[in-house]
Amino acid sequence: MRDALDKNPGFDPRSGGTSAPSTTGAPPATSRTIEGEFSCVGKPLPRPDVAAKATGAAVYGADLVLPGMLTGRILTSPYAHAKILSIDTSKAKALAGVAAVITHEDVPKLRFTRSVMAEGLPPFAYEGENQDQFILSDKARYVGDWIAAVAAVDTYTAEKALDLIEVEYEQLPAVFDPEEALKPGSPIIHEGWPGNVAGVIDHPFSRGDLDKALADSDYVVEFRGRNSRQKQAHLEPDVAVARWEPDGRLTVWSPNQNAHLAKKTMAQRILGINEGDIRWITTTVGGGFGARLSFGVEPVAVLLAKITGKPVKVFVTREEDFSGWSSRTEQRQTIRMGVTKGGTITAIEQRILSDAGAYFSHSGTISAVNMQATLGVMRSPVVSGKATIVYTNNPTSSGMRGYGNPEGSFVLQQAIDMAAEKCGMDPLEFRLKNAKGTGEPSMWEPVTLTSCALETCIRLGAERIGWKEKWHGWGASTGAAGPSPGGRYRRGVGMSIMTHASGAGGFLLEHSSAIIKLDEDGSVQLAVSPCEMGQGILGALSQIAAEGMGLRYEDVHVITGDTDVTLFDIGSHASRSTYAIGNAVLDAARQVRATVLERAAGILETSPRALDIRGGSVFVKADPTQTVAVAEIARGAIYDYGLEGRHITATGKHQALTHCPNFQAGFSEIEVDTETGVIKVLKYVVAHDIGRAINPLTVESCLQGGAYQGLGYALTEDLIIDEHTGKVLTDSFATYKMLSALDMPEVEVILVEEPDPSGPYGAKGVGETGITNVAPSIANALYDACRIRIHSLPMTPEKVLAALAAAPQSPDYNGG
Amino acid sequence: MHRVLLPFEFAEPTTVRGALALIDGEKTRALAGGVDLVLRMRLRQVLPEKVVSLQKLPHLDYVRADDLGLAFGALASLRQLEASRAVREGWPLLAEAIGSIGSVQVKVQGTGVGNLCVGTPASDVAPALYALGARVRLTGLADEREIPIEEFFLDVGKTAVRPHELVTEIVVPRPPAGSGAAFMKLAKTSEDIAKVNVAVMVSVGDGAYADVSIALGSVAPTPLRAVEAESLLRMAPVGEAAGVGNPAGAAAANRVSPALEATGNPVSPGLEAAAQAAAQAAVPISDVRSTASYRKEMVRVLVKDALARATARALAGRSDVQAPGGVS
Ligand SMILES: Cc1cc2nc3c(=O)[nH]c(=O)nc-3n(C[C@H](O)[C@H](O)[C@H](O)COP(=O)(O)OP(=O)(O)OC[C@H]3O[C@@H](n4cnc5c(N)ncnc54)[C@H](O)[C@@H]3O)c2cc1C
Repeated sequence: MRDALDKNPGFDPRSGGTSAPSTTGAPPATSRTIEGEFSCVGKPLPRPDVAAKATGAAVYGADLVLPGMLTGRILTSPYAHAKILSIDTSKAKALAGVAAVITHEDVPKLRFTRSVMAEGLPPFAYEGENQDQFILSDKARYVGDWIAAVAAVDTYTAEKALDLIEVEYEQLPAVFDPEEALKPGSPIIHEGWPGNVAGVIDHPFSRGDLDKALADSDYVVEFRGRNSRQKQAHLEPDVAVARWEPDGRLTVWSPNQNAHLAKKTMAQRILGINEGDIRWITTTVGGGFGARLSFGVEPVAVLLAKITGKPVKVFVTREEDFSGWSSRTEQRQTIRMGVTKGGTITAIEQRILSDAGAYFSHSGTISAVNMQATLGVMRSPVVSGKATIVYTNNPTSSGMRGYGNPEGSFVLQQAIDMAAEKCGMDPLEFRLKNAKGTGEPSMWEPVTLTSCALETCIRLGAERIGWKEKWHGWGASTGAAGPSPGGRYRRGVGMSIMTHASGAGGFLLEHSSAIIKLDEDGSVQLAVSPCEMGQGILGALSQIAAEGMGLRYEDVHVITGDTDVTLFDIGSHASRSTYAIGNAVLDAARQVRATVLERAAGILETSPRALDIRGGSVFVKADPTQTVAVAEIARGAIYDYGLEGRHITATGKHQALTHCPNFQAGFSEIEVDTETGVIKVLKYVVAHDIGRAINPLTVESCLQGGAYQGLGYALTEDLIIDEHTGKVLTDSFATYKMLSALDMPEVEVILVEEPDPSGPYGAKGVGETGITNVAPSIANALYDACRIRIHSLPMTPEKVLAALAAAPQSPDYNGG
Repeated sequence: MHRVLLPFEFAEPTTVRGALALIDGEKTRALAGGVDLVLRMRLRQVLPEKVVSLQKLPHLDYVRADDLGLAFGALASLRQLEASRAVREGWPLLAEAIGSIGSVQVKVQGTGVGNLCVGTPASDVAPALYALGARVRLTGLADEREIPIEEFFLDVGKTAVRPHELVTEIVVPRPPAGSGAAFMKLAKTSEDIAKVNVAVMVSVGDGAYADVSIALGSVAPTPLRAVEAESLLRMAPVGEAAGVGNPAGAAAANRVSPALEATGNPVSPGLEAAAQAAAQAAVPISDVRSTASYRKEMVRVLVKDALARATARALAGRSDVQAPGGVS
């Protein structure tokens, strides 16, 4: 392979190829077997966006000021469920400086769903996306529901006007528990959805006779679990600016993750205008994590701008953001699994009760993806999945990093350990035995896995955590490895595995394009649509573009997030940007390279095939002293005084019905204080099947960040909702507790690089995945340490202590 | 919900008398670091018509120690107190308590006095000052008074500060020779407010506890002394009570991680009984941070651990707290 790569730095990944796994701990990426063969790919190059972000120079939506711009603020409901009897806006309208006050009477009478990502669904699937809300609500369905909005000359006036709006409510009985909501006689939240059933989804790959398979199994295990409504907690609170231009078009600036699909939703579902009438500009995104796969305040800004004829900026406070329209969806799940004595899975069943909250948003797609990922990682002849989605008077949920996978894995991976225990098998061996591999169906079954480095991930991760020495085994008394065997402090190790799609081909429109423009000085403008939301995509795509053309990294500038300029793309989500858009970029880069070589061949009087490009210079392979600069060719192509002039450009595309799944294993070592119930994570190891790390530093930070978010999800982060009023009680960072640097354990990242034939330079996705294995591996470590299982997230000391008190104690146990 | 503050009058007097002349009743608020006040104003929990900043008052940021004791002024920041060598060496309990506050930004901006004046029972500073027997100096235009800190906290959010007064100084007596102390807390994260915190100070002489003070935070409307528990231990023989025959006890005296400390240091019935009595004194509530029952149980565990640690420190004869990161 090395030979072939040397001869052809362009390296066609489609020709396949493997390399031995390389690993990165700290410091990152030193032992890469392929290093030196590429000039940009595989290098820990600095991301182009970070300096501006670190110094405060980056311009976010909130920084944007347009001439004549008004401030918009939203009045939210104090009640979880209430009829609006009347709204008196006269006092607010009379306030000097107020330009408009709007209520549900002023909004377009088109119902829509907040999920703009859903626009990528095929039409038959889109049917299931409940169109259940207006821009401002005609009835309050959760504490925080949008009732009215104001545009005024400044924030102070706008907020004063909000205080002057008089709303007469008639409170209705509310329901906050999804199981309660399904019971007959429960308050009905949406007229169109009797029984509060927002939807039922059957897993498309259910097969076989479940009852029979379970009855025939040697053992059946069952585990129930429930995740928390983890908050995306992007640093930048939601904001949008809208302006109707003199030519009648609309410009929207917002941190949305899917500019093109947001444009489509706004045009077709809300305003009833043409998509071409809207220009959507993505501002610097201060974190997305899935929250911006939905509309935030954009529709309000658009409407206020329309009514006032002025640009309007709408923003929210952190408290409003916490009490609003985006968090992980709470899912209550049951997994049943049948196994043979020998440790072969015979059947897996998953049942999900998904709490959408007040509006549908992502609760359907997230349930479907949960089943795909959860039921798709292990081999099983019989599979059964079903999700019921319920409306409640809780805040609306949405998609969040992992999109169903961290929800399902918490339950599945504990069930897997339970099954391994029944069979008396090491859970690591059990996973190796039952996990799918190359050549088998992916989580979306029509697709076949073209690569899978899961086994390597498991083996390397196990080695790094010290699995052989530290895992106690099913029979042994626990805590033996702790500082005081059987005493107060008990140690344990646990593991978890997952698969995740790189992109959404097969189940969502998977279509991206990229434009490359080679300018006269040999620099490149790369126009792509995905937003840089901290994931490092601008850097990774620049590396792919530079590598593909033989240019230098710093020659590439990325233009992004302006739908008037960029070609269609479904947005930044589904761990797809490097993989899918990277392919589009590479396609364009190869075309530019070919054009450059063709022109260079004329100058150097040889054939394009005899040439290569590196570092911005074309050279004759047989005689590298013969060169011509790419800049010279680019300039010559533009300043052509004959008739052969051409600004060298290319359009590349990626379209796929596959999604190149990536795999990962996570291992936790913990110490439990059995008197306080505090779980201290000593170390977390994550080994990821990345195919090829385009930028190993970025991939490693991505997995570190995922581990951070996963640890918060596992241990502390909890959106607590008052069970009587429906109010979010943890509506600020003072009460919604995310970890700080002080709380972080050692996190070790291992990158396993076995290139996939379909990815750019063999790369697969990673974006969402770092979060997924953390909670289940801690949960399994908790069992290894103390023989207890926790059924809901986060795994707080209070729950651990309660579980310890309920658990039968092992004989040597002398803790509190 | 609002992002902007409502308008208010703002004054920045340069003398204490000038400040006192402006502090005139319920509609006025003093501003020290503003960490708590400004947030509450935005949330519209307090709506002062006038805010009197203390920040321009000269010489109020002192931290002074002499043979008699420690005194700090109304503008001494938490960070100053934590970093002070005098505090670390002479009142390590206070340094340890402030050291448990994870957010450096809050400690740089927030004052020790402001922390107390918020009146929250979850303060980390208060239990340490309770255990140390601190006094609060309150100054009005006409008079000045000094009260024990236990009389300062009245209820959640309520202190003994009268409408025309300012807290000008906190005075802390020097701990007796042969004493050891420990602060422990449980919180969701290292930047969170305590679910439970405890501060204990013991002094040991002739193999027995000469004096014991145990203060609890976050488990009642005010911080509180576990008087019953204290009297159980007073005069009790130390070795027996603390189980300090075990060498691990002394070695662990200054270890930061509680995880490794109490390990292998079986706690004697004496400490356990005191810890249980302390738990009895707690009347916690359930809220977003924890449950009442967990808190009560944790009072027992923390008091037991803190007593063991304080005793070990008293016996080891050294208990200075290391300087926080970035401070030498
Ligand atoms: C993110 C965060 C984390 C925190 N973590 C902790 C923690 O872990 N442990 C902990 O104990 N605390 C914690 N706190 C609380 C913090 O320590 C206090 O809010 C801060 O010390 C208050 O001091 P300040 O000088 O800013 O007071 P200010 O906000 O200025 O004042 C607070 C109140 O006291 C009054 N006041 C101030 N000075 C005087 C005076 N001299 N005389 C009379 N009245 C006065 C003011 O009028 C106001 O009502 C945290 C706060 C935040 C925001």
